[in-house]
Amino acid sequence: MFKRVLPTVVAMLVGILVLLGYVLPVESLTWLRDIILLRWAMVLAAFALFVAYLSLLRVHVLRLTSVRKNKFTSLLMILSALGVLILVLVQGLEGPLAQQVLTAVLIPGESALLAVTAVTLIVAGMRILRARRTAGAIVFVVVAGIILLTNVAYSVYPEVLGILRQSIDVLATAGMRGLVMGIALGVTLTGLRILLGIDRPHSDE
Amino acid sequence: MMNQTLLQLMALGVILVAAIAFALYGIRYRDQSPPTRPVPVFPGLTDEVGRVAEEGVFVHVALGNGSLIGDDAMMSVAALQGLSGLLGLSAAYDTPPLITTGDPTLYLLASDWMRRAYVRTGSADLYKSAAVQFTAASPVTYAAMAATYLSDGGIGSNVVLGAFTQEVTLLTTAAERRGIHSSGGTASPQGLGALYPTLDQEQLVMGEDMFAGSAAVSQRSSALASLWTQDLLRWLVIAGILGTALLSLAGLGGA
Amino acid sequence: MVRCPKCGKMNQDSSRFCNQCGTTLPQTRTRCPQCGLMNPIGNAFCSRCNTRLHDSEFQLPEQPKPPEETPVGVKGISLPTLPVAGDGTLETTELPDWLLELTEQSLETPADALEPTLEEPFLDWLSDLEDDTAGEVAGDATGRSTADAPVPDGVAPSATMPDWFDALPEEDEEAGAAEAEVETPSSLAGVDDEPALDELPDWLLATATPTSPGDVPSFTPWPEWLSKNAEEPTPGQEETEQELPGWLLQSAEAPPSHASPAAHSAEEDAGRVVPLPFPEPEEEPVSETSAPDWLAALYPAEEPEPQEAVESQAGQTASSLPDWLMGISEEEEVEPQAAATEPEAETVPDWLMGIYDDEEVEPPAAATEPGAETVPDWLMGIYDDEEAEPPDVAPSTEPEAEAVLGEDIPDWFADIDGKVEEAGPLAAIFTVEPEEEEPALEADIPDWLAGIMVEEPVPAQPQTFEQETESGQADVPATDDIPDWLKGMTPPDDEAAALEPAQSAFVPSETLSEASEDEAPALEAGEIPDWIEGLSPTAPGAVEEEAAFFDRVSGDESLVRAEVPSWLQGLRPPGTGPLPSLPEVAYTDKDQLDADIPLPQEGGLVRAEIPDWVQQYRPSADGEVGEESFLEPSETDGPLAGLRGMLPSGPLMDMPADFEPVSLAAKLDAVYPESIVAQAQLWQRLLEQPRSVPRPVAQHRVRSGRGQQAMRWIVAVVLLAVTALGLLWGEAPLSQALSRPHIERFSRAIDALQTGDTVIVAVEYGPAEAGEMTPLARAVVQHLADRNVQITMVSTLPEGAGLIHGLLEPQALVNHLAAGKAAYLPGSSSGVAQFLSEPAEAKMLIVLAGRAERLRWWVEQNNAQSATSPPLPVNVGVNAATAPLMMPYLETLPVVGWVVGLPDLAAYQEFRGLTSGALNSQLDALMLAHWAALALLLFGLFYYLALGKKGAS
Repeated sequence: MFKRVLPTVVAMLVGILVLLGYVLPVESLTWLRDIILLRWAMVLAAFALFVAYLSLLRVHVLRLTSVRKNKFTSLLMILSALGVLILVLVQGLEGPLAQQVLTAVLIPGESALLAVTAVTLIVAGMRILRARRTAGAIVFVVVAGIILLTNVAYSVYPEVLGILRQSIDVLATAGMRGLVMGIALGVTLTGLRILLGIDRPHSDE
Repeated sequence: MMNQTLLQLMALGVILVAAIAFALYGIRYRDQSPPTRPVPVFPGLTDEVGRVAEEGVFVHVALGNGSLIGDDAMMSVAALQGLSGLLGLSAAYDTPPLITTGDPTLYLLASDWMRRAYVRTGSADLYKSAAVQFTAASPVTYAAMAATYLSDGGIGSNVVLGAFTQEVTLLTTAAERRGIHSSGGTASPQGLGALYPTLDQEQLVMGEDMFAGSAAVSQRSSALASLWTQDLLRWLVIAGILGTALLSLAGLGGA
Repeated sequence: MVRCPKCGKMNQDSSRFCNQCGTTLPQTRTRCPQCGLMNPIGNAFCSRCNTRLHDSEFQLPEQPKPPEETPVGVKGISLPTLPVAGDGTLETTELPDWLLELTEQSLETPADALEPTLEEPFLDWLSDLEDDTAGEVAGDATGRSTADAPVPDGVAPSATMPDWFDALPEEDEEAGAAEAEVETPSSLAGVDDEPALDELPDWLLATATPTSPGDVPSFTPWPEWLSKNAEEPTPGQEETEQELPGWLLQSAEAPPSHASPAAHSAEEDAGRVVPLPFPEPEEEPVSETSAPDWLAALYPAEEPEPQEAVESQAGQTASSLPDWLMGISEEEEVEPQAAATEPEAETVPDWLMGIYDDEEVEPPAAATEPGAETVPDWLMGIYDDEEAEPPDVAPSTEPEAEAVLGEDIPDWFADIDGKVEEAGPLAAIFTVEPEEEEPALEADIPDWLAGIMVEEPVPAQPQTFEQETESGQADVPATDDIPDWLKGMTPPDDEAAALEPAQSAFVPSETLSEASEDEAPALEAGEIPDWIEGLSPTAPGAVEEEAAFFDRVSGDESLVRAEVPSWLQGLRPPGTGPLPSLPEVAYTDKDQLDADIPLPQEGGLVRAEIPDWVQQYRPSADGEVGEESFLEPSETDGPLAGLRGMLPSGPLMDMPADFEPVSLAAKLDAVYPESIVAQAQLWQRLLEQPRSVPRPVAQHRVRSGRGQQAMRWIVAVVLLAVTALGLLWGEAPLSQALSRPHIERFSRAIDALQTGDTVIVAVEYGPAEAGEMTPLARAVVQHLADRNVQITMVSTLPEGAGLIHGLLEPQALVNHLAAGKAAYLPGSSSGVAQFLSEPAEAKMLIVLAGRAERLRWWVEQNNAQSATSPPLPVNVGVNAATAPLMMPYLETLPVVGWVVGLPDLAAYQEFRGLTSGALNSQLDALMLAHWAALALLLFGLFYYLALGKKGAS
């Protein structure tokens, strides 16, 4: 009982206090929210990052010791993780080596990965009718084409496509708003269930 | 621009209305199951477990990057609730899924859920902590690392459920290359734009349907009441938008 | 003797299986109480419906069935399939179990009422006598000499009978004639309160001689010793009444007014009679007045009749039978409330019902009494034979009795050990009061019943029914009249006196005797048959009589010892041991009767010869587990305690997948044999193997073929080509940077800054978005530097600090952070809120966001600061992917201007007058890439549209 009740009580209490601190202009609540509770959350998040980092190293060390393929990638992963950690601990992020790593490795690498997504997205768009043969798929392609066509203004008669683009923007924005509203309602109810202790992801389902 | 205080009070009012409606729906539907629109993705997840168990492979579950201290916290919790059936069945079969996360706090929560699934089945000693992994802190790097697991083999099914953006397409492409069945969904429009052309209608859950995972899997009265409260609030918001728009057209009030 | 159909070995009649080959003897079967299937006697559970056939050998139900429950209708004599729940325990373990149960049931009866309510479990075994399946009557298929035993009409005999029935001694002709003389105790007559006859078995009902259709033969309550379970013999009448079994108590109370409305007609009873476990008897007419003498003697007469009077009762009609014998109906319609609410209700035991022959013998209370049953056919035949027999039926030898039984008496009455000296406590039960004479019934009483009657008065016996009533005492039938099977039931010598009934059993109360005055004189009012009276162990005098009876019975060599079957032994009350096979003990005093006396071999029933292969199924009391028995370990607790053959559980079944038997080897060896441990270890190894070897993929996955790979390459090449083309295009730009209002506001807001103003710049993009956002960030930083403002750069991303450094260093700018503050802001939105709450005198907030949520944090927290200070003007620079999500924020919240991606950057630079060729080339490349993507999308759309559904496969 102690293991189940205490986390639930803490979660409910903290959630209610933080919520009241946001909606009620009470200074003490604001102080409690910002200074006490959220700082505790920062510390916990930092600790979680540290635990996750160690878990990552452990997984790849196990992959090194096990009879599996891709041992080289695991070794590279371990070395890079430890190396960057040591480097940043020594020089900080503003250090020259760190900056070199950032500008020469991280940025190009992630940018390349994001560029790959462009290819995959185009390929997926080309094969959309293979996945779903519905009118929505055709509308999807048509709208995507209009966006692509009007994203960059042409040097010749840019206003024509601009009107088309504004129309699409209105529809896209409206749809986006509706989607975000629904998500917000879902988030509200999910958070409410946790606040009321009905759902207990921290201790039980 | 509206007064900040007014905005806060409106927010509090919405929460109170939601709480009252939730309680009323919960009391009404505590002994019955109200009709809900089916979301075939969540029941299909348990089928995937059985299928991969027969093949002797694993299920890969990508939970995304939704941090528990950020805006996507509830999205990640909803994803875990929708996966609770899959986790439980996997624990029963002792074929744990390979769960990858892009956030450390989500990693802790996911590992705890997986361990509890084993505890519930009475086989806590069979839980392997390596089944849940934190691969990377950035979304694109996380997707790339998770895609390598799909390429290595041993994965029979790919489930992407959580907070994603366009990098999720790396996962679905890798799965498609290996002939791995993919399913899942996200609430983010960017992620939906990447998943929509890849997954068919029965494999994709979009937007707020993600928050129906708990009701679809557990069929608890609280989860079903939550869905019905969502619908009620949605209609109230629609009514408010339309009313405000009409009033603005009439020159009364408005933003 | 029964010949085995397989090997031809002669087995005792009580045997259910051949002692040589184990073949199930046809007549030895157990009827399932649930489905009626005849199961081998060795089966503990029905092979059809898995109902428990026999209770545990050493367990008895703890809670007796409440009397309000509807007793199971008795359709005849059936085999006990369920133990009888009793209130107390039995002391006299030498008594057969079925009788011990009777005594237990009698404890439930109230003190002031001879409520002959029988518990359903007890009635079940009697109620199952109805021969539902003629095929089950397999007695004809065997060499049983009793195959032709007559069965009363309406009662189809079943194929099996319990051993103790079979062990009933065969009577010779003399014994049969003597047994036909059943004295009706005088106390049985004229008893007002009569039990419900619907509970009496047919065979017993058939013996009733109703005086009128509406009358119910009355009878006296059971003898006290019979009602009591021999633990606490009380002299009080009420106590004995409570202790008597229900079916016996019912005989004591049978007022016509309490007749159950569920009385059945003879014809109705014929259809519902439970077949008796013996072959179909010959159809023999039974005179309407052909109540057997011994049963006629049961009905009360004006005074107890001597033994000789029993012989004169052979011709008594059914109308003279006590009420409890009259109108014994079949069961199901018995109203439990009628029996429970009326303490004097004549709730005839079901097993006694069905006695009446529906077609030939109609009890007088058949129309009114619920127990108005006709005598079963098998029993009716007895009367015919008995008519020709002299009333005095000496205890016949075994073959003689068998011969008689073969004609008249059901098999279960056969083979009763007629040796009086060997008779155990059962002998007292069937002691016939010698002083009661039922000459009218002698001719109707079969020899085996005639032998029941005790010719000599028993000197001491417990209190009997008669003592409980106001009527006189019934005589104990002479010893010669005791059938052999009763003689075998002699109690130990020291308790013989206590067991010898001073008067016949079924001594009715005075009221019963009064009610039965109008009945035929076959049974005098208040008369209890001697053989019933002799059952009383309570009354001092009765005990003595019973003891004398046992003496007589034990000395009768003609009484065949009944083999107590195992299932009967299972009915033994807890704490009692198995029935001993040897030696016989003669009960001489009451104390011995009350004590926990094992049934001796000499004085009691012959122990059944249970084959060895049946013995292994016997649950051991000590629960020891041997090497052999481990293969079928016995359950140690629960309802299956003591039974073997259950599924093994525990460690053998609950081993986890990674179970390491090595650590438990020693422990297992201590409990389980080595062979079992080896098997478990082998299983464990087999289970572990699949995990160590690669598992084959059962399903063939459809991987992306060459077409998809080619498509990816083509798209990649096309995109690279057009990008390269755009970058290298040196001609006039293909694209145009259109200036829009939000871009102009963005620029003008920065131009409005003064020198020395502090501007907060939030760098909220990562390395992935750096390729698109870094040019925008550098342009903004350059613009701010041109305005000579102080820049405070922060980021909520860990890698943002490095990016900040890369933005400021080329411009030689300094990040104006507060003392002790870092560029990294932890805590997401809370960190932002905390940062903005600190007084920094900033003039503008510029957010360069590559992720929507981070932009939201800054914008929302900036607005939240309005309570303390006015919000800062916000300029936003986002990438093309974030813009659609942030548009609601950008258009409503206090955002001055925004720049979205490369096109707006180009327009921003052009607005500032900083036209760059490189930037235009990038814009051209971007536009060409967009056109290429569009073309590819359209190509794919039309391609798969053209392919149709085949393209989707």
